[in-house]
Amino acid sequence: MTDIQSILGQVDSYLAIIILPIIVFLLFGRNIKQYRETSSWSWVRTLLALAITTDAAQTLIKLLYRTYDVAFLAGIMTKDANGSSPMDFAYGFIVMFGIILTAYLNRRDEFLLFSVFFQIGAIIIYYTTGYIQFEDYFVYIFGVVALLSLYETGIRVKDNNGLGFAIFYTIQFTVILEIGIIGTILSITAYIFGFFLATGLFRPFGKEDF
Amino acid sequence: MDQFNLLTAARIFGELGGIILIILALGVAFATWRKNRNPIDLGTLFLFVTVAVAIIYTGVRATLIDLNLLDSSVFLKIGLLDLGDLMTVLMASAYVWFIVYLYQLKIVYSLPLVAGFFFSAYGMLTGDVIPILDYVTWTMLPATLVLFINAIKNKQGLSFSLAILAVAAVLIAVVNPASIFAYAIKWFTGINIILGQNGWWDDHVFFDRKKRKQIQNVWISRMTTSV
Repeated sequence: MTDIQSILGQVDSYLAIIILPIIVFLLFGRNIKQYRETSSWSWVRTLLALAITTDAAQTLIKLLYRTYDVAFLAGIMTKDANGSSPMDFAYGFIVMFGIILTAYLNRRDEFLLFSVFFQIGAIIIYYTTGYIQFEDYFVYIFGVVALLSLYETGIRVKDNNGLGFAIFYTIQFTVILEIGIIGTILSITAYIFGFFLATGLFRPFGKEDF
Repeated sequence: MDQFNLLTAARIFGELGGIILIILALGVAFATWRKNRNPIDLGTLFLFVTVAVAIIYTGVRATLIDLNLLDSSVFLKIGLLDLGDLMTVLMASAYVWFIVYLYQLKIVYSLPLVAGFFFSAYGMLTGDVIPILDYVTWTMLPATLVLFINAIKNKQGLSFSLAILAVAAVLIAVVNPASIFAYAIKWFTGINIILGQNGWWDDHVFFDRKKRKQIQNVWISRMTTSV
């Protein structure tokens, strides 16, 4: 059992190193291609790309630190007395992009920068008081809110990327819960799904959308 | 001894007067919001609630201290933050919200809410009020100026009432809380809210003289032609 888990863990790590940068390049590449063709920028795809870039960056940083013990990453990886580190903000950034995407798809301008302000506030509070719980509440409460509203909006406005984003992060969200071998399998599934999403092959509503 | 009792009675009268007036003002603001149901009235009501809580809290506390029922070192705190300071943060946030609403800056509508939340949280966690004072100063000062300019330029009584309220809040913070000026300001705060909500400033200070003259001329000409 332990062997299988360690093999799966290694597959997961290498998949993360290989697939996540490919997903990021594909998403930004398709965005640039669309901009050249139509002179309009896809904010949905940009937000998706930014969220996955954050995800990729934090996964790679964790891998580099844990596997190869890269010294200069200690500053952001070392946990303090409360068991928290600046790396904990990576999930907050992913949730932040999710909330912006939800507000953008629903055309709720008043909520567009809410998560940005909240994230900045949580970071300032962490560095001035050492209190990180606001970030935890933000990730769990607004993470669930963002996922539910992305499912609802994705289905309602028939947006392939919106729905894909929701599915991708539902899988990722379960990975955060750290449920052993199932978590590793889910993580691998998320990367494979992310690849399909980035290449534009995930089209439950048929047409290609922006 | 008699003089002391008279002074205590006068202080209690001053505080209670302020409390009664602010409760009346709150009632008027609530009625206005129920009638109009628009965001600006809700924002105004929120602001008046924070002012009312602050005045009631300081008033009741001062009265209890005067009657020797409470030690002057006792404060009502939420976390490490005094209730009065918390209300000040919320008041400043309400003023920021008025400004972003006035200029229709929809994209930053949530900024006052989040800023107020984190400044309060910082105060509750550390008990340090310096950042709160900075926040209040750098938000209420420009907000007061903008509201005064808006009141004069667009002849808006409510803007004027809110600007006066901000000035009163600053004055309350700097004058001796047991002086006659402090009571006068508290009484005036209540009266000012009632005047602003009832449209008294609009009717008696910011009325459009030109428009009024035009209407009068129309009536005079109608009356003379009908005669």
